[in-house]
Amino acid sequence: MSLRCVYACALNVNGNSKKGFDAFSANLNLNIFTLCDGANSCSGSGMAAEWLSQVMTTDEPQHLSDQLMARHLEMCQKFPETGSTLLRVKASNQELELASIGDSFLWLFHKSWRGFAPWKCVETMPRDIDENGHPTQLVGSEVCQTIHVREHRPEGLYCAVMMSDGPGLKTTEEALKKCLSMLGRNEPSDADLAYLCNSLAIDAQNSGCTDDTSVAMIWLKFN
Amino acid sequence: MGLIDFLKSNGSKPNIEQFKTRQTDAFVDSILLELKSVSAQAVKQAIEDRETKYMKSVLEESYFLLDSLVISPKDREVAKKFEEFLSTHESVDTEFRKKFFQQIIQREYRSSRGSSVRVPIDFEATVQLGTDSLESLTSEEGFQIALKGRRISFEVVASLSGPFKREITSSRFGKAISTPSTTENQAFSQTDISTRSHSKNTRSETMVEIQVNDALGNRKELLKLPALIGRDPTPFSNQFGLSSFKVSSTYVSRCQLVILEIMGQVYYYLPDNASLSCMRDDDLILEKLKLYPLKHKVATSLRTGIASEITNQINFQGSHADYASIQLFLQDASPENHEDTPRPKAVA
Repeated sequence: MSLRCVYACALNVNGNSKKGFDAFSANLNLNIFTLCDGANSCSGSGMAAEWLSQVMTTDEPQHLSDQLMARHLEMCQKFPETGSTLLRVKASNQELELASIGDSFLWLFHKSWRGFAPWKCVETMPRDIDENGHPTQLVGSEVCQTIHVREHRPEGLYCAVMMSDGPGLKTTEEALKKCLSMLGRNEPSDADLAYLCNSLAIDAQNSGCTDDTSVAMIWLKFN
Repeated sequence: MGLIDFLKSNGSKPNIEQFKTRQTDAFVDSILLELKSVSAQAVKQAIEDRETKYMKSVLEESYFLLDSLVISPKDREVAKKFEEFLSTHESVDTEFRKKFFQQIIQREYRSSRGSSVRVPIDFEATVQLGTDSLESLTSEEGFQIALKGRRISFEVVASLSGPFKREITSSRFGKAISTPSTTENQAFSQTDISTRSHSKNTRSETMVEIQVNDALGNRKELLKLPALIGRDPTPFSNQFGLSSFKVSSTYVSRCQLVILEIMGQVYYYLPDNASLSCMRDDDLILEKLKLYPLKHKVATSLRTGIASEITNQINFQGSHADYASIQLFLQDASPENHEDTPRPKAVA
């Protein structure tokens, strides 16, 4: 089985240099992609998110939840006053694994019938939020207990869309489908995906998103 | 000279004075078409370099923006004449350079693959002298030109930014959307374009907190702008798509106060059909159709029921059922004021 992978990210699209609490990392050798959104009420959250996104793109023999817990404890030491969400996509010939913790958004779309069918949302990862919409758990915070993990069969065309909570709250599944409809059966370039990510980010801002705005897309083709 | 010769010589002279084309005008005539053509070629080259990275579906719904157009004269003679021409005219008209280059640049360029390049309204090309601009023609080059007729005197390099999402026309979709980009990691330049301010303005949704003390008591509500306050604001607010707040007191106009945001600043004013005015807490009596800025995070108190012609301070004799008091407090969801994400804490 072969796997083709294209990705892009529009990171911290808000034109404000003070902002920058989101971080994206990609490990192309292992096909692991992470998007982290640091809690913007705490100073140093941007750095913490950057660190977390990088360390979570490494593959470790232990189970993902054990890996995360080890990183959580390490983050509590390194960045004691912060916290960060984590979205992670890992693609291999065996499976497509999605993981999330916190209030960020992660959707998985599938294009069945050898890519002839339209894009269909096959997974929306759960978000950890309270009645005020605030995150109930974050990596590196006092509460970090459960990582949500979903696995999908490695077949056909997939596109994972990751967003920080700001743009995610302003984006609908229909808008994502409309955006993805521009991607046909052919492999897009990273410039195509960058354009789509940026368009979604700007659309979210035009809809009133004033939070940190980051959008990432990972296009995957399993043959 | 005989009489016949004299008459002949007089008759053959037409009574028309011929003006000779000035040297600079002749120069411009000769280069104008060339500059247009070379510029279009440069933009075409830039677009072809970029568009190969994108799918046709992306190109069809987006556009590129002309970032820069650098014009370099290719030899000393042309450079000298061109610089002389521009500086001469600029001494008369400071805007000349801009006007001249606007003649050269088209408003939009298109490629055969469906891409389009838009040119910002205030775009100005740059004249840049290169090393070639200082060199004179060699005799060999002069000979070749003599054989071929003439050679291209300018070199033009264009650079683009984008692609940006095309606007959806407001007539069809009810809302205009523009999508400038800012991130460098997407190979988009950080050009400040006019659409950015539009997108920034539409981003923040400004709310005004209104607290009214009238016949119904003390009430508080958040109003989305633009808003209309008055005794019977609904017909007007429905007609013009404003949010409304009804004030129940004897001396208040049907349409008493309009609150709106212009270029990021919130103002309130008395509409033309307001028969009564309001008095502010600093004793100022509002004038019709005059805009008063609403300060951020500072409550503005107004009392209704003031006759428009009164200019001096008055004492209110009636209760709030007669003269309502309105307090305006500006809240907005600007990036500086949005609620930050808290760090979750363990519950004991």
